[in-house]
Amino acid sequence: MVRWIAVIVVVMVMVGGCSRGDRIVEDAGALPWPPPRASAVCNVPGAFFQESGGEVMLHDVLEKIYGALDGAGYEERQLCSVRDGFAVVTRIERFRKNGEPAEGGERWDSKIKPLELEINISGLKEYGKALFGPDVYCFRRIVFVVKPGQVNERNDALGPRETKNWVSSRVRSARVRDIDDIPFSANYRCTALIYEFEKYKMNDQLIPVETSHLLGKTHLEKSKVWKFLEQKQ
Amino acid sequence: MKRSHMKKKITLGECKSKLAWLWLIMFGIILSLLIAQNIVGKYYYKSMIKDQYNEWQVISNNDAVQAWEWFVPLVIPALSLIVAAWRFDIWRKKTKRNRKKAIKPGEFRFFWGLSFLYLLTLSSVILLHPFSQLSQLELMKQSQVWLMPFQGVIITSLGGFFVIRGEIWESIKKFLGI
Repeated sequence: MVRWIAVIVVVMVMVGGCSRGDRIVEDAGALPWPPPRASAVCNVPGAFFQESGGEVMLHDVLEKIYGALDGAGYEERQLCSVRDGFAVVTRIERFRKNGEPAEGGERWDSKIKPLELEINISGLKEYGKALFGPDVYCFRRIVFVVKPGQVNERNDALGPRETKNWVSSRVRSARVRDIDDIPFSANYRCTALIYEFEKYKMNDQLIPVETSHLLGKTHLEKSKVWKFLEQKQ
Repeated sequence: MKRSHMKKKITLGECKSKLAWLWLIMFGIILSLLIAQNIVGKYYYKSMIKDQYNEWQVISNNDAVQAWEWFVPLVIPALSLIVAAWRFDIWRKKTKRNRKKAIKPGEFRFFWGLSFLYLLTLSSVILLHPFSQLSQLELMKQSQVWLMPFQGVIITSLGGFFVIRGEIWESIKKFLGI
């Protein structure tokens, strides 16, 4: 009997917690909140979401972000709930030092693959880098947070276990509800948090980068997300 | 016919000198590669550990010493033997006759080829690692398993060759009255 009461209490607490936090988005996702310290941050101008006619709803903002991500090749993403808003998390991708995504299948593969033999100038350049330079590979995850006010990040960076859990979490599709009713008012902001990681061939550990060598806007520009966000529908 | 056969013969001094130069040149190339890798930061990497306050800290590491620990025992013993045998002949006037001693070209080709194959294998561990799934240091550690015995074969055979063809063997033969 006592066991049944305990189960009922736990279920009630869980249901109550979820209904409060997930007012907007049904899937709670795997985004740690408050988010850990990002390697780079970019405030996406609200004007990008302003269309010529009518009031802009959160749903429209989400559609716009989805459209930009689709255009830039981020077809897998995760929708997470944030108090009075939502967050879209992209799948972890490998990118080059200049911010451009890695080519082909390497972009979405978190495992480090050996160099392929290419007998041309760029192949020789790559070989030279691989022969003398440190075996380091750059990865990133972009998180778009849409909520009223600034995003307050945690002071600490992601630890290895948290990184591993977060990085390996599958990107799930989520059903959105109630977003249609909330207007994207002046106090709402869209912030892009860029989480950069380094992976060394020497130890295969994902190391969070405290401060990215690129600006947040450069990450968005080089990944082409900025171009598609800028475009008017 | 006999004259052309004689022409092909090589002296022991030439054999030692050619072998020494092969080893010295290859040693120089591999040494330069390792120094360049050291300077550019090939063996630099970061890792995460928990500090005394149980908080995660990113630390920088440099394992260049391990690369040198791989290189030195795989080159220096054989190189020392060859260079010492070569210089010993030049320094000691008594061995002048010995240096002029003709050896079979096949013998020279065998030792030169064996040395070249060994040095080529050694340098390929560095030069071909970008095409390997393993890191440079992992590959170096694994290669020790087959490079060490390979070097052992070279040292033993070359050592034996220098002894048999050289002054020491003559002394032994004189002592034994063979």
